[in-house]
Amino acid sequence: MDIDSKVPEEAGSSMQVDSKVQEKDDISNSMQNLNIEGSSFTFKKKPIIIIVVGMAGSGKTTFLHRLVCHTMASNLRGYVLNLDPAVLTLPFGANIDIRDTVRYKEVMKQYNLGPNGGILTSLNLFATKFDEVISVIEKRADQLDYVLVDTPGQIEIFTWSASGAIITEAFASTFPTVVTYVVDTPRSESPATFMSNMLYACSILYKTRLPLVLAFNKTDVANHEFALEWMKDFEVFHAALDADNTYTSTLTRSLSLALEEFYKNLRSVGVSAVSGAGMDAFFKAIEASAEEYMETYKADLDKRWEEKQLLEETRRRENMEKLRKDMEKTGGETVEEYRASTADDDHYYPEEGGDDFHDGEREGKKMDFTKLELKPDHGNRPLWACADGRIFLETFSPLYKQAYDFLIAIAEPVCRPESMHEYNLTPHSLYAAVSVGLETETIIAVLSKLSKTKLPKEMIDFIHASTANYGKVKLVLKRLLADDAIGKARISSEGMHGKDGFTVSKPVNEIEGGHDELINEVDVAAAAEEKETHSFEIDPAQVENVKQRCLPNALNYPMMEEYDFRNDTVNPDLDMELKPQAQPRPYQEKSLSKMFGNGRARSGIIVLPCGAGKSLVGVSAASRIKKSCLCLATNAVSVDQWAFQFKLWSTIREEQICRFTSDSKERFRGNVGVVVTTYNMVAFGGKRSEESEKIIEEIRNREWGLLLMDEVHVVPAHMFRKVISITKSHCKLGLTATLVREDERITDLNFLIGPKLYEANWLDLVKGGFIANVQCAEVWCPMTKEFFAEYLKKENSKKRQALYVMNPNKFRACEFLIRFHEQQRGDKIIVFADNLFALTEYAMKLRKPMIYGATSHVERTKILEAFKTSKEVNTIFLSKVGDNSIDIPEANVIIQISSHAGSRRQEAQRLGRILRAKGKHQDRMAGGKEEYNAFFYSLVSTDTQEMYYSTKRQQFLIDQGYSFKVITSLPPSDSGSELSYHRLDEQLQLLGKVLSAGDDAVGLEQLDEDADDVALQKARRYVGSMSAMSGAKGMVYMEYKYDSDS
Amino acid sequence: MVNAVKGLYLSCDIPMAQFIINMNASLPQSQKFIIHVLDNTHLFVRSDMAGMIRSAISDFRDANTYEKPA
Repeated sequence: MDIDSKVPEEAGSSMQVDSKVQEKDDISNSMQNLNIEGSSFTFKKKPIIIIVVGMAGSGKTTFLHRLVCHTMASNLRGYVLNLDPAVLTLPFGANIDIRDTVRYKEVMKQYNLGPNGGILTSLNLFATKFDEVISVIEKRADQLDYVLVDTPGQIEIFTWSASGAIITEAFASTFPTVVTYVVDTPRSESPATFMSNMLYACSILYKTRLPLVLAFNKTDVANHEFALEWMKDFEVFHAALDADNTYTSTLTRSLSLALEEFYKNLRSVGVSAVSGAGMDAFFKAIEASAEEYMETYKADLDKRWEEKQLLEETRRRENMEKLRKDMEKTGGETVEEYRASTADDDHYYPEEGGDDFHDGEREGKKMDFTKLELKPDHGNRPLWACADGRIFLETFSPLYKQAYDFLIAIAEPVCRPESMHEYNLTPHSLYAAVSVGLETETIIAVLSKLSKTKLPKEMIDFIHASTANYGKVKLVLKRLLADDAIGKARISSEGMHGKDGFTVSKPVNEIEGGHDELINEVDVAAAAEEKETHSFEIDPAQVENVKQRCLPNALNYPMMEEYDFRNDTVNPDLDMELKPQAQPRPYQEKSLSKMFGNGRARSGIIVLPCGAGKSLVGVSAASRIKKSCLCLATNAVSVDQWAFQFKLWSTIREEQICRFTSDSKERFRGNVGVVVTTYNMVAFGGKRSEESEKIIEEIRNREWGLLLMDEVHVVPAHMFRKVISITKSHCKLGLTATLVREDERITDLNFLIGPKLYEANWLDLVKGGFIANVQCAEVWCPMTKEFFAEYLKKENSKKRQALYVMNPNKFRACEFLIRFHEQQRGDKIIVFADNLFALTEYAMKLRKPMIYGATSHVERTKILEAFKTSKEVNTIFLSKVGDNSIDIPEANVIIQISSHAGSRRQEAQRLGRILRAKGKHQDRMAGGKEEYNAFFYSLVSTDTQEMYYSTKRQQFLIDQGYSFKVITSLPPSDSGSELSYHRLDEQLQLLGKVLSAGDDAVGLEQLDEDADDVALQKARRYVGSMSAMSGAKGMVYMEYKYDSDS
Repeated sequence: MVNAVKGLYLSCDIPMAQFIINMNASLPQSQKFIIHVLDNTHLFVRSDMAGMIRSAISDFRDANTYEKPA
């Protein structure tokens, strides 16, 4: 098979509509007429929806409880819907509960909202899928008399929000709907409060345009007769206001006259939620209101509905018209136009905010850069610098290498395709630049030297503003001398001081407002003296706060974190050197030089692609610092690998390195050494075994010279942050390949660890032959007819993933690829599947070994060993346990059959499994023998949700300069009869298997990584959009059944 | 007696045919528009439904297409 020569065939599915004029026929015409008449929406008389609203504390929930009890007692068929996400416990059972769908606490956390905002957002999320609730009720309509709806305690959230309106309208358009306004009777005894309550009722009537029933609650405490009288006879009301002539009472008086009309048409009932009095009267009022609804409100609703329908229709028609026009145009033209505009963007990127450049005549947000002056010799200069901080680099320029080294130091790479790189100047990237020793003026000078145009003033100002304060506050970890006075005197020199702690030192001329704030912010030990010495100690527990506080969005005194390890004589030295055969590659050397810039060790993150030798960088750093080192990895397998790497690359003695995992608890011998463990083991909050408790105590009490964190992109999760606060370390080094997270919390790393010290360019490493040259391909597998039909069915929504993963065409493509690579190229293949059901099905059918979360450590090692050494085992199936840090250097083909939604990180990490360089070095260099020596296939079922995820997942790799080739029709149409599922009956059998599997069996695998040996507190990481986190995306409505007649 | 019905002849790929059939099945009896399912890739439908089918398909495909946020 020749993959390279495959041309992507026509995308997606095509549809032609041929119009065939046929003779007019009376019967069909009349049929159509009939349809139009019948197409009005369906409306049922039952059940009646009762929406209960009321001020906080008016007793809504209790009232509703009473209603539920009443319906049960009197054999009415009730159905309860709770829309209050914030209620803790409901006294009654709700059939549909918003809390099952949306977790409002989660919403508050994610959106940084207060309780009210949280409730409102939850309601909004819920409202997006309210049609599903309606359809649930519709299905039950025949068996129900009443649907009781509880609303959030804060009345305005329901009555004045868009989602409240959507929900009421959705109800009102399908069922007779009545709003019940619960009034707190005892609290309405004063005429003014009464009036405000009535006004609120009135406003609700306006807002909802539905019949309203007033329920005077708590009649057991205060009789509601007075209220009825007030409503009937305004003179009594006036009398109650007595002779008060203040403005309020005058206003109240005239309002009572105005409300006369409102009162007349209002049904009001006195009820007591506690004693249950007035329930029959209430339901009578409801029935009457429902009648009224059918008579008057329905007509109005019909009209509104029709209007909406009309609008919808016109919109649709316009869309169709547009579509038709697009289709009429030749496809090529449209594409051409698009090309032209993007090419434009490369050079003149539209920017926001740069008003100076804005040219009113140009439409849209396009900015005019024609005023920018080109330098006469611009051809020789490689950069385009824009006022908004974007920088574009031409990689074909002779100055590329120098420019690249410089840019990587001062800016964040955004996107790095082959010939044009995009970078972005951010405050954080500029701190990183200053921290590696670049001066503000140097940055500006070099930038303007490299730029094709004069540097925009905005950019210069930005650089000044961002770098001005950096480095003025230094966080230097010291030990204080027994003599405190000496310690204070020696502020900036790195002397040895007494008890441990973090010390902030500040140059003398920098005591300003920010300083005092800093002191207020945290518990500062030596606050009194620090005016003179400008150095004070911070409570170790507060370090993270202080650091965050110092970032630009607060005090704007970003801190530098350095460790002067050479002069640290308190912590014992660790005798370890790099072995002579360990030759760091140029980029590894460079990344280390960024870390040890001025003889001290800086905390920060080094980003290298998987397989580029991150471990060597880590080991080299440790052997340069030569102090105790705590190395954190994500799971037990990688702990073993790290321990192995230490022994492989350095002269560390066997007893100086120990592993601490749930399986192996090696004790620390001597006073210095390397401990390799997992994040979970350190952060674990529950009870531990005695043995591990002792070890963890040691870890806690020890001062670590270096905290080495592998796969640092997982750190922002709260559990992992705990690790940093627990362990006292002088210097932190984070290693990762993919500095992306779907939840955008990657910026947290800036204060948790430090700035990004170095980031390698993937394509350059590929060209240098340091990592494998991977051919990425997306294989499009069309769904078979039967699978797609099931996929579309609503009731299969939970099985969708299983259906598109188990698509027989996908299976065949997978089998074909395995055969091809095993037999023709002798490759080693990893097949990834997140979906456990699919993983087992595939592996069983193809008779290949597989590893997933539940596979024991011993078995895993055995399988991996066989895969590495045996000629028989050339393919293994891995679930997502294989994503990170399983080192399988032999593998060079990945086939991905299912994946975790749209996670860009997962895609990159999986690619990383095969990035380790293969074959002879010179063959791999650009122009070498083999163009590609590794293959990454992502199998995608077309026309399904998978297409969406697949594109999203690739974004990170595309930003690194990779391109994905699309392959259609695999296996080739002329072959494939020998593959599985060739015959229809086999396919149908498979389909039956998928459909009959339980919902939980076809779901995703839940991993609890690696944890302590006692009761587990699970920490799961979710990657997904907000709505998915809160549950609104999955939309699994739970319906509880409470039989009224039982 | 011979009955002639005016309609549209659709040809599409297998999944899309299933999509249209599913769409048809989800509608109430009065609004059903498929007159005949001819084979896996060909359908005969009421002539006034072309626009509706087109927009439904384009919505469906939009939902499965990821666009990089600007």
